[in-house]
Amino acid sequence: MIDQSVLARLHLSAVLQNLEEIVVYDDEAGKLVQNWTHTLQFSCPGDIACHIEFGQGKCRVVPGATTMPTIGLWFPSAQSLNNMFTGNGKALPIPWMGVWHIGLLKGFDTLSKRLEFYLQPSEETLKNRDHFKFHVQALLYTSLFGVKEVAENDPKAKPFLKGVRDGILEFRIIDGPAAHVIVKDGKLYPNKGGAINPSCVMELSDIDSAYGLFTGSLDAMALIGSGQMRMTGFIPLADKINAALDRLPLYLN
Amino acid sequence: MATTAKSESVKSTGSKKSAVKSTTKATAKATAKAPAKAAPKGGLYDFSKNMEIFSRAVKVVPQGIYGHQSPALTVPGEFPYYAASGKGPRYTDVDGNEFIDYMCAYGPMIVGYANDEVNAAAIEAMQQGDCFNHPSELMVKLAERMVESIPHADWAVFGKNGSDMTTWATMVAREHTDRRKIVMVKGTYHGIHAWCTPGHGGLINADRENMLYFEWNRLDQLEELFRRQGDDIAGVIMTPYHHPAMAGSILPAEGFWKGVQKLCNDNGAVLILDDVRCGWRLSFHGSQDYFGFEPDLSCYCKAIGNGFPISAAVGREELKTSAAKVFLTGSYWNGAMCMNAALKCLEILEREKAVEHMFAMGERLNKGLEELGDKYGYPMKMTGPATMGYLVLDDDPDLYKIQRFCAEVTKRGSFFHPHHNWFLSAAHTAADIDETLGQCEDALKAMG
Repeated sequence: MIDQSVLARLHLSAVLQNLEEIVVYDDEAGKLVQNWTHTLQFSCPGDIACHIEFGQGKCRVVPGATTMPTIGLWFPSAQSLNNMFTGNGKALPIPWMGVWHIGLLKGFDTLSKRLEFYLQPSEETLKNRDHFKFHVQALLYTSLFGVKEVAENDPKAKPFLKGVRDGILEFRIIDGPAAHVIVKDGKLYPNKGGAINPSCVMELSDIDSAYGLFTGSLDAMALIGSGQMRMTGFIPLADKINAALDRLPLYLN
Repeated sequence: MATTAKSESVKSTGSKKSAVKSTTKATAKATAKAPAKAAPKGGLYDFSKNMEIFSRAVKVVPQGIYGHQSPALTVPGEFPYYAASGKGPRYTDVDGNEFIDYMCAYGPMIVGYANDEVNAAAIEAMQQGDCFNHPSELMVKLAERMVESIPHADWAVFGKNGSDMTTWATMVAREHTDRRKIVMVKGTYHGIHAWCTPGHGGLINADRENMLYFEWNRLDQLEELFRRQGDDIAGVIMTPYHHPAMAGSILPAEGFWKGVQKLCNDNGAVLILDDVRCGWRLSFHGSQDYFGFEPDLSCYCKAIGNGFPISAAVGREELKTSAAKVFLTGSYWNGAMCMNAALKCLEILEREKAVEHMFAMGERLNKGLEELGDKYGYPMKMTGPATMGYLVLDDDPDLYKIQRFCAEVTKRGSFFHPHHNWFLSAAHTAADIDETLGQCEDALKAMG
């Protein structure tokens, strides 16, 4: 059963963070935000919030609320926030700050379509090898930022982290992107890029294997056995995080 | 507090009589018939055929290989996946690589692969017909053998897997006490059933609502559990010593087992010894004999039949009526073949003084490894009893060194698991150990 508050956290933390790469990689998105110097905030009950800072043609997605966003959108429930992301049902956000910046919201709507273009690409889009690689990178980042929310908030996944020792799990793709999760005091802290001294490394041999893993078309254990994925170091760390990761598709299919 | 084998063993490693030169008859037979192929000289093992079969397997078997034999638990690509044959302490994989084996099929092999005597006993029973409407007399003979050789055993029952027995034992404890709670040590493996599986899938919260946990050697924590919920604790299930995966083994601290036994006795709870992994590797009479305590129920599997699928539980007279009330059966559980194999296996173990021999071989291996580790700058120590040690390398919190070392040794001809305790068998000889140590030296040189 899907917990709407977990899904809301995933939308704000795991999905939106991909904008940081999209405004750099995608020309249309880059042009759109090149002159933006705004901060856009989404929030809903349960201390669920994030804000996106735009400036110098880039953006940064920051968990949590800020005091003075350019526009602040408050959703009366996690469900309504999720409706905005899924396009199902009514969203009805309340603009509690910067309602006069309606043009920015329209621009953000265009930006979100570029997000969708890369996160849910058509088969045609995936034929472009660069787009394919970018999509896999987005899947990697979405997974690792998403696992934090699932592991810390999903009722069934929460026990997986009980007693897990501190450490760093690095996920890397040979000739491709890397990301890592720092585990400290039972909390997860995802980061883009490789780690300096990972406690455990999960290394995929190529971008296609990574795509198969993240889309569920290839079995992780089979990839490990066949040598397409190499797992070294303190394996229980990966085991615990992977158990939580397995629940991510229930939310973000 | 936690203690390691090196620091506080409550009992020394069985007989100190050197068995290095006293190769048993069983071992001699096994060695004489071992495959002729020698360990590689120069070149390292290739696992291409293993990988080829695995690529077929993943299409028709979930994970390709699941459970404790999953490649993910070793170092995939650097260990064999599929066995082809074995004799004595050695086996050959599908690529034709021969290994001196220090996992012994994760414990079941104890008198050598394809042991002639055990196989002959199994075949003899099989030829009479294995699975009938009724058990054979062999079941009674095996129960008599168990009762005769294990001090606290007044009766015995049989199954096929360790999980069959550990789960059943907890039910007997509940039946006997009319209580709900079962206490176990955190991080201990007792099988694959919902109350104890180390896996995550398929569980619901209700599966473990009646489980209580404490840490190994923390008698104070067990006392606290009894203080708070003693009137609802049916039983305490524990392994003879703590042998988790991916961490060094921890022996019981002085007085720990006696304390556990007293708490169970004082509170009317059943003390269940899960001797599935350790049975017949610490003592011929059960591992409680080695550590000096008296459980109410004991569960066995692995080594009892040298790999033939059979498990057993034994218990005290006062639990017999409760045991009779807990339904126990399986389609093939009373088959004669495995019962006869077990009878023969136990006969060999006793006749050959196998436990003493395994301790001597283990000590030889441990001493050699520790000397080599010091020599090549990789200090290491073996934790746990010498018959089933777990190797720990210094300054290796994330296990990278042990993974590399075990992979390098395995590629040279001795199967070393990086994350699980090892097992010695009665078939290992001093020559086998020395050959392995030679491979270890080469591996350490390669590690630089």
